[in-house]
Amino acid sequence: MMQNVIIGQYIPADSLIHRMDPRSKLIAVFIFVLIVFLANNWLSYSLLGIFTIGTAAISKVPFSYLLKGLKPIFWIVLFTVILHLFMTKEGPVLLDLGWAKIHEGGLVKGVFIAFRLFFLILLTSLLTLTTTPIDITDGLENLLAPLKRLKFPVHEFALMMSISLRFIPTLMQETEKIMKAQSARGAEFSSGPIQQRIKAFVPLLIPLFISAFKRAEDLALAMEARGYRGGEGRTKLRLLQWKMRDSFCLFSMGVLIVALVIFRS
Amino acid sequence: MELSTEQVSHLYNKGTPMERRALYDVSIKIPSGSFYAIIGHTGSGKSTLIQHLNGLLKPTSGSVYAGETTIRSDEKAKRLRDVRKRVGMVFQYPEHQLFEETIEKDICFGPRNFGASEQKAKRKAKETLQLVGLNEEFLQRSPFELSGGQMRRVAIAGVLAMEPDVLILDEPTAGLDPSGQKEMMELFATLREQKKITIILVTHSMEDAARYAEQIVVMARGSIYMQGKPAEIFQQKEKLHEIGLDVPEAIQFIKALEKQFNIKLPKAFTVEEVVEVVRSILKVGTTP
Repeated sequence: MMQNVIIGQYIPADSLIHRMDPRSKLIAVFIFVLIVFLANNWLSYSLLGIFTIGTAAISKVPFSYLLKGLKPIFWIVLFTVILHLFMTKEGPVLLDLGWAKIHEGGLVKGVFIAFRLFFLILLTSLLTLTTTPIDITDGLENLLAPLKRLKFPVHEFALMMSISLRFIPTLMQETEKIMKAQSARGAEFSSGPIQQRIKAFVPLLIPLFISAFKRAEDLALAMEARGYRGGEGRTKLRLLQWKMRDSFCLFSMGVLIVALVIFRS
Repeated sequence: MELSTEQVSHLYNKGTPMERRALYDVSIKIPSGSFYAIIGHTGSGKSTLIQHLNGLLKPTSGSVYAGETTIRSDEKAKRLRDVRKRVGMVFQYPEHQLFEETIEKDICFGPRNFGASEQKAKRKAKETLQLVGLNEEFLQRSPFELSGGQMRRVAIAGVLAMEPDVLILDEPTAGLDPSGQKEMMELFATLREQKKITIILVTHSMEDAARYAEQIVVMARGSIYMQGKPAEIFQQKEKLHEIGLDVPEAIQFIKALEKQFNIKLPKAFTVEEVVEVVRSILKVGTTP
């Protein structure tokens, strides 16, 4: 179960996508999330598909690995498709089951939504797979800097994010460790009736919460002991550098937007 | 119950970019009722190996035999339950697995999972709590108000209450104060004598390995590096140094004495034995 979650993991590799500035990647993903909704016919969807698969190919992240990451959302996608099949009543009837009719519009919409979700998850997980958490937060902090004028605590926000990203793998390890310890005492997490399985999570969650709180306290103490005072006047070891490839990335996003607007019906 | 492994290899994260090999063709045989110590550096594969012995991990290739059960890579989880009941596992820092409101309930968790009646589980809770050196008054208290050492005892009682035939201990004394460490190790030695259970101890303490174990398995880089009686293992100081391990202080002391006075002394592995050796020299010295 745990091995299938790939969000928040970083896969080190040397590719164009890896080397890009986190800011351009963040902006590109943000734009992508918005323009996915522009597509509404086969042509525009294939365009998005080519873009997504092309990006994945350039990133050098193994395809099998990406597909594994899509597994957990498979059921959500299936559910949406089924919902669309029965709820959308457009176009000619394809199949009459008596108690429900499947329309052509429903089928097409269902497939479109499935692709839309897959593209979204694929591209957003590519962002975290190719960018270290620290780069993502640096990029975010930089992009959100204008909000400081509005008294928005940008630095604290970025810090909060980097801490939570940083501790995802730790928490996963901890979960696995406690799962093992409780399995050794006969707990069953993956078989048995559903009620028992839900109950089986209590021995997992309580130790997990206790150690998470303890860890948070330790971290706060360690930060205070080293005189942490927030973002005021703080310099950075690694400076973000905007290069040609980053401008090119944004340019290609612009081309994608124009193409989508032209091709959509 | 006899435990053995045959050509066991294990890969973590198989089929992902993070694939990592932790064990290479490990074959080992642990007879019923013996006391084995597994030593080796961090990352040498000790923890991976012991998790194979009670079916928490399945070998990527090779087989594990626990009593009559064979564990291979394609084994169904159902059949492993029996192995888990008979091979009790105390992980590093076992106090992190406590979760119940009362100590009694927490100790009962294991036995109840393996089908013991509530009455029997409660009786076992009382017994094992005494065994680990805490009295009955603790039963109704919350495990979270105890000290670290007491929590550790409760967690170990939780495993003992399952009445395992084999007890695997992963650094059970880490983080305890010296007297706590000694009491803990004495407890395991007594348990073995009284209940005839097999003990497999993973440790960084050469002293504990020398004092308690009958057989020592030295692991390095995912394979078995050396195996034998403590006397055989600790004779090969250079070979141990190569992988960053050392001999017990008692042996270092004897070696230093031999070098200083240019004499040959009998072997000694524990502080008591060293005292014996020193006394015999002094006797020789005082009686002309």
